Amino acid sequence: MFQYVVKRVLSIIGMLILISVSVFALFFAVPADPARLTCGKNCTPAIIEANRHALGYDKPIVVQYFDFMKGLVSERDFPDDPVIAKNSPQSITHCPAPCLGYSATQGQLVSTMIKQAFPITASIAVGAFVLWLVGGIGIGVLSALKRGSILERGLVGASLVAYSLPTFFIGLLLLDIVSIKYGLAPPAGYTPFVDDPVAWAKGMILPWITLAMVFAALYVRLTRANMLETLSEDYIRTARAKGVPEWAVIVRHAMRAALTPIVTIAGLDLGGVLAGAAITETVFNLNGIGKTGVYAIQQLDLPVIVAVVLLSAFVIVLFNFLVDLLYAFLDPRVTL
Amino acid sequence: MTLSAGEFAAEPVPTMVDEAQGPVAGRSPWQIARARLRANRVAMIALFMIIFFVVIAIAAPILQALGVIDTTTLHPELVQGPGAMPTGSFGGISIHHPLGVEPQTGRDLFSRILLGITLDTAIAVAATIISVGLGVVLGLVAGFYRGAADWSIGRLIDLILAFPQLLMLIALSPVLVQRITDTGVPQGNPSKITYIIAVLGFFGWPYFARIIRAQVLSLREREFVEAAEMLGARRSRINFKELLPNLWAPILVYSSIVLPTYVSAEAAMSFLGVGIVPPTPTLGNLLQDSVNYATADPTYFLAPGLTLFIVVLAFNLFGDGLRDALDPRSDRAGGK
Repeated sequence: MFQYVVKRVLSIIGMLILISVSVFALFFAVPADPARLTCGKNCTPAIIEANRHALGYDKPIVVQYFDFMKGLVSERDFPDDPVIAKNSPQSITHCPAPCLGYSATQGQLVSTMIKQAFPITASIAVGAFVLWLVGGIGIGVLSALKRGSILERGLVGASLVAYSLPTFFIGLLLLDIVSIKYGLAPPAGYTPFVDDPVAWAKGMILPWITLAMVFAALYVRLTRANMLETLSEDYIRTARAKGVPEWAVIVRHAMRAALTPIVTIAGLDLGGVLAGAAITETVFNLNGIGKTGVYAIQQLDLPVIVAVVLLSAFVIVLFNFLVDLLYAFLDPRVTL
Repeated sequence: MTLSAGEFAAEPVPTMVDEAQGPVAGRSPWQIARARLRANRVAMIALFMIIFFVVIAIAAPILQALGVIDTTTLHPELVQGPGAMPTGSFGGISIHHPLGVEPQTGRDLFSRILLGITLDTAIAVAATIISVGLGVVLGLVAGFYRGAADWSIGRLIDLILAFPQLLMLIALSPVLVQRITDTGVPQGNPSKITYIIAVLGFFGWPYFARIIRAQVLSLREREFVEAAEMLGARRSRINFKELLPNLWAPILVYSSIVLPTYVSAEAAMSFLGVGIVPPTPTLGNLLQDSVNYATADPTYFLAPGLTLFIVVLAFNLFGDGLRDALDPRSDRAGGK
C-alpha cells in the first residue's frame, strides 16, 4: 500500500513535469506575440520591446520554463528588472510562491485570478455532482428493478435524450426560456457560500441542473446495466432463498456490488468538472476556471492559458489517483 | 468469417430460433448479430434516420451546386426593424424559406441547416476514422508486443488523457490553425476544418487503443493464435488476419459511441469561438449565432439545435442497438 502510494506520487510528479513541458512547448510556439498584447492602442515598438524584456519574453523558452517552475516554489517579481525596481518600485508586482505567472493583458497575478475563479467552479461542480449522482443512480436502480415496464423504457429513453442534447443547448434553453422568459428559476450568479447559502444555491441551481442532466444520463445507463448484472448473480438468489427482506437484498447485497465500479467514473467526472466546466460557465457567465481559460484563449493571454491548463491537468491526475485509492478501500478484492 | 469467432457466438438468439423440426442451419456471428439488430425496432428506426441524414449530407452540396438550395444569397428585403429580424411569423417561414431566414442577413435557414449537416457529419466521420486508425494500430502494437512498446504507449495514453480535453481543443486552435495554413491548406475555414478533424481525432484515439489493447491481450492467449504461430504464420499475418477480424465488433461499437460526441464537439467549439465561421454553415455556428436571438426568434434558435439533437440521438440509439447486437454480455445480463 505505502509502496504503491509512493510509486504513484512519483509517477504523478513525472507526468506533471511532462505535461508542463509539452504545454510550454505548444503555447510558446503560438504565432501571436505576447509582448504585443501587453499594451493597448498607444503602442510603439519601443514600448513593446521594453515590455518584452521586462516580462522575460525575450529569454529562450527553456529559461522561461525554468523561471516558471522556480516561481512555483519561490517568489517572483513582475517585471523582474533591477532598473525598474530602483526607479519606480511601485510598478513592480510582487508574486508570492506558488507563483503561476502574471497576466500583463489583465494586469493581474494569475494566482489571484485562479483564487477568485476556483470557488465558483467548485460550487458548480459539487452541487452538480450531488445532483447527477443521486439522480443518475436513483433512476438507474429504479429502472433496473422495473425491468421491462413502461416506466423503465421512459426513464432510459429520457436519459438518452438528455445525453444527446449538447450541453450549451440545455443551458441556453434553461437560461432563456425557463429563467428569463417565464421566470421559473432564479438567474445564475455567484454569491459566496459563507455570505449567504440560500443566494448561493439559488444562483447555482441552473448550472447544476445543466451539468447534472448531461452527466446523469451516463450514470443511469451504467447503474442499470450493473444492477441487472448483479441481480442475476447466484449470491442474490441465495440471499433471497434464505429469507433476507427484498429491500435488504437490493440495498445491501445488490447495490453495494453494483455501485462500486461507478465510484471510479464518478471520481473521474468530478475531477473533470473541477478542472473547469468551460461550456456551462460560459453559458451562465460565471467566471470559473473554465471561463477564465476560454477568455484567456480568446485574448491569447499565454500566462493564464498555461496556468489554467496545468492546473486542470493537475486536478485530473490527482483525481485519478484518489479514485484508485478509494476503490481499493471499497472493493475488498482490489489490493494495491 | 474466420474460425476464431467464438467471442460472440455463444448465445442463441431468441427471435431467430428455428422451429423444432428442420436442420439447424449454421450461422456466422455476423449473421447472428445482424438478426439481433433487425429485431431491435428502436435501433432500426435510428438506422433509417441515420441513412436519411447521410443522404442529406451527400445531397446537400450537390443541390447547392445545382442551385436548388442556396445558403449564401442575402435577402435584405426579408428582414426589417432595428434588430433586422425576419418579417413574417415564425422567423419568416414561407414557401421559399421553409424554416424562415436568418436575422440580419436573411439567408435561407433550411438550406444552411442541410449543408450544415454535410459538414458536421463529414467532420465527425473523418475524426472517427483518425481515432480508430491510430487507436487500432497502437492498441494492437501495445497488446501484441507488450513490454517496452506497451509501456510507452500506455504512458502516452495517460499523458493525453491528463490534459483537459475541451480546453485543449480550443487552446490549441490559435497555434495549430496557423501551422496548418503554413503547410499550404487555404487560410480560414479549410484550415479550421482540418484543425478540428485532426484535434478531435487525436484526442480520441487513446480510448480506442485501451479497448483494443485489452481485447488483444486476451485474444493472443487463445488457441487459434497459438495454432497460427505453430503453423509458422508471420506476425503481420497473425495481427491482421487472425486478430483484427475479432476486433471489428468493439471497433464498431465504440465508433458508434464516439461519432455523435464529435458532432456535439464541433458545436461546442463553435460556441466557444474557435469553430468554422459563417458564411460556411455548420450546425454549431448556426446554433452559436442563433443564441443571440433565442427569445426574439425561437424558430432560428430551435431549428439548428433540434437538428443537432436529432442527429446525435439517432447515432446514440443506433449505437445502443449495435452494442446489444454485437456484445451479448452488455446490458442484457440478468433479466432474460
